Amino acid sequence: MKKNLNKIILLILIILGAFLRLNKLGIGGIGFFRDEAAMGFNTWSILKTGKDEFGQSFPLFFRSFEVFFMPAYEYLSLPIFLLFGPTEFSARALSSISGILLIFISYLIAKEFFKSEKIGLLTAFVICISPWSIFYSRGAFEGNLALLFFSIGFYFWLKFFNSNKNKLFFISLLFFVLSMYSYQAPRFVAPFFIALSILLNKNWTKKIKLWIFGGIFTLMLYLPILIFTFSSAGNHRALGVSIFSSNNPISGYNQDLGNWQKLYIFPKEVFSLYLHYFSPMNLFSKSDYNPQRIVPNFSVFYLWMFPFLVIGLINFFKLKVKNKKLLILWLLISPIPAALTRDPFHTYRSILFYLPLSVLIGFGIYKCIEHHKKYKNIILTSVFLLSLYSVFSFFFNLFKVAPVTLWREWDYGYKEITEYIKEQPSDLRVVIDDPYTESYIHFLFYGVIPIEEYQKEASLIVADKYYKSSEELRPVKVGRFEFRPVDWPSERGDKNTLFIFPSTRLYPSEFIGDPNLSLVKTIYSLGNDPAFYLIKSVK
Amino acid sequence: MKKLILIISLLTPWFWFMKLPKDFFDINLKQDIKEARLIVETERGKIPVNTTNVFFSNWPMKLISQRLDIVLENLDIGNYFFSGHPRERVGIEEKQKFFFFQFILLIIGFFNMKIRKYKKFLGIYSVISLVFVFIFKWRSFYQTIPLSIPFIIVMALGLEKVLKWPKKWLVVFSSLTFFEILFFCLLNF
Repeated sequence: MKKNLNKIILLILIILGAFLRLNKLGIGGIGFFRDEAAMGFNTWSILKTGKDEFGQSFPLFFRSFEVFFMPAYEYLSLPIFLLFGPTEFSARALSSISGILLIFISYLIAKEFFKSEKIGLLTAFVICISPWSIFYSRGAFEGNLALLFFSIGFYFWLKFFNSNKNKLFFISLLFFVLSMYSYQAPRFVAPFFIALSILLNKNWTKKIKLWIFGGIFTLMLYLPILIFTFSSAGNHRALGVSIFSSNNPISGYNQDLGNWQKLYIFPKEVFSLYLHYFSPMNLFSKSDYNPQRIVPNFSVFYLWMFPFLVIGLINFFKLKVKNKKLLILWLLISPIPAALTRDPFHTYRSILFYLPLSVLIGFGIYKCIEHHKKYKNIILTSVFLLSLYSVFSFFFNLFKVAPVTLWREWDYGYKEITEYIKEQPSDLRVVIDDPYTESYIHFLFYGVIPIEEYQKEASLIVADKYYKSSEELRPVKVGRFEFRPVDWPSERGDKNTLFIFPSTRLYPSEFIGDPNLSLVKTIYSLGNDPAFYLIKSVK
Repeated sequence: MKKLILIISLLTPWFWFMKLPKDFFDINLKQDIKEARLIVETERGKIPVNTTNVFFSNWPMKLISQRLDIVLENLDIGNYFFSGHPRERVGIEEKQKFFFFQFILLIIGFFNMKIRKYKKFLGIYSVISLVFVFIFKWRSFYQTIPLSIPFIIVMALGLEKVLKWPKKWLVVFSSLTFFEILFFCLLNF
């Protein structure tokens, strides 16, 4: 009876998690970011033509703007696109599914680790309602898929260490490698975690054969990616954002004083960045410094979870449980890739870090109830009421506040532009004022530019540099579409042209009153601010 | 133990640059409420008006969350050991208050069994000082000086352990300490 009740609670949590992640996933709202459009379009393009936007057949890394995406998200999204076509929902669905499955996996991990079904359920509950998990499950974030694979890998790793069944070891490795095919951070975290957890095992030398076979198995699985290690595709992302890169000078470093400072400043900077991920201020209050990755007024976790994390941590260190070091290793290693980059607190690069923290919060709630059995009902009711208020408040901020304050960060307005263009004559020249020339991806995603036409132009520019170079290689003109900065004084007289300007790039006074120009449409944000001006030259 | 506390205090840069703060107990609740109201009004002004706005976005909550932010800021361990680093880039004043070797002492101090003797004091003192942080919004280098006491006690406990280390490890630790102080002085004086 009790077992059935636990199963029912878990099922309710999964259904609730699915509702929180899938509700209004692809409609309206905050916008559709260019990285989401890039992943979505490339999946669609592979499905339709077998090639990506650059005309590359079934690539191993997806070149997108000047960076490279790991391929798992795109390839695993293929069936979704086959079913639903190129929509925002299709692009985001895999991340949402990953977030939903993560609720179940977190339950299994906590249950296996603490040998307690109750802690498993509480951990699943924390994951189900946590802001970080909901947020990253509601956008096309390949890191969420990587986290799912890493967590499954960890679960089998834990089972292997508990049971010594070799089959589990190889299954675990398979999932760790899948996580490395999904996102950049696990490419560092997974090998490091595997190696350290083996070496920290007292009797590791007794199983040397198994480790060697495991190593060969992993290498074989990872070889297609490994051969690109020394090309731009394999290392550009890591080198580009690293604090050791000359493009990212660190504060406090004075070139006049010489290189000796690096001995003092670099380790300090790395350590400072690393500790920043453990800061309660970041985890419970301030959150990410990039507005594209936040929900206003919310952080990674809800503020009321902080005391439970403290209780969980204190009790965790007192706890005598087999393979305790595995969770500690996960906790300590996972922020390292993010800490080696310049950004102060990057929630996405450190996404692997939040699952062990959630486990500790779940454990903290359990311990709190266990220590104060008399007040069990009061604690549970308080947690329930706080969660209820927090989730409603989170969605209020996500659905009501974020669309009016963060629409610019989420590239709001391109869908509306493309809908307008589809109604226009097919010979109309369209010039999009875009200094970064990245908006083209929205026009591809929404099907305004024919795939083959773009592939033809892009493949000529990229040629054999697809994996080798991280330069900006993309056409600024495809058919009747141009993506570039507009020289307004000299171009404003061009005939049969639709100019599209972000409202931040052109004042209305620069086109109002000109008899040769007509403002045919203004795209407004949900906060009623002008987002784009669509200006047509009068024939 | 008293001697060790004195040594740690003398080696703490926080005290080297200390000025007596005049705004320890400044509190202007009227002004704070006004600011909180303004933030909420700005936020609400952008979204369609309905009853949920008041429920999820209101000045008493903003007032409390602003103060809790400051408490959490003071709980950020990095705030005590680094300067000019990530937090500073996002608008939080950051001045190095302790050396890195003192961080090692702090960690070691937690594993010194004698900490049990000070547990009550450390707990009660920390909670009271955080209540003061909440009420008086202590943020600056000078205002937060009372928070140094628990750190120094735990560091002294760490130093006690370190002094019992084998000689070669003691030399390594002393060298690290010496060079860190030297680098710090070269960069700051």
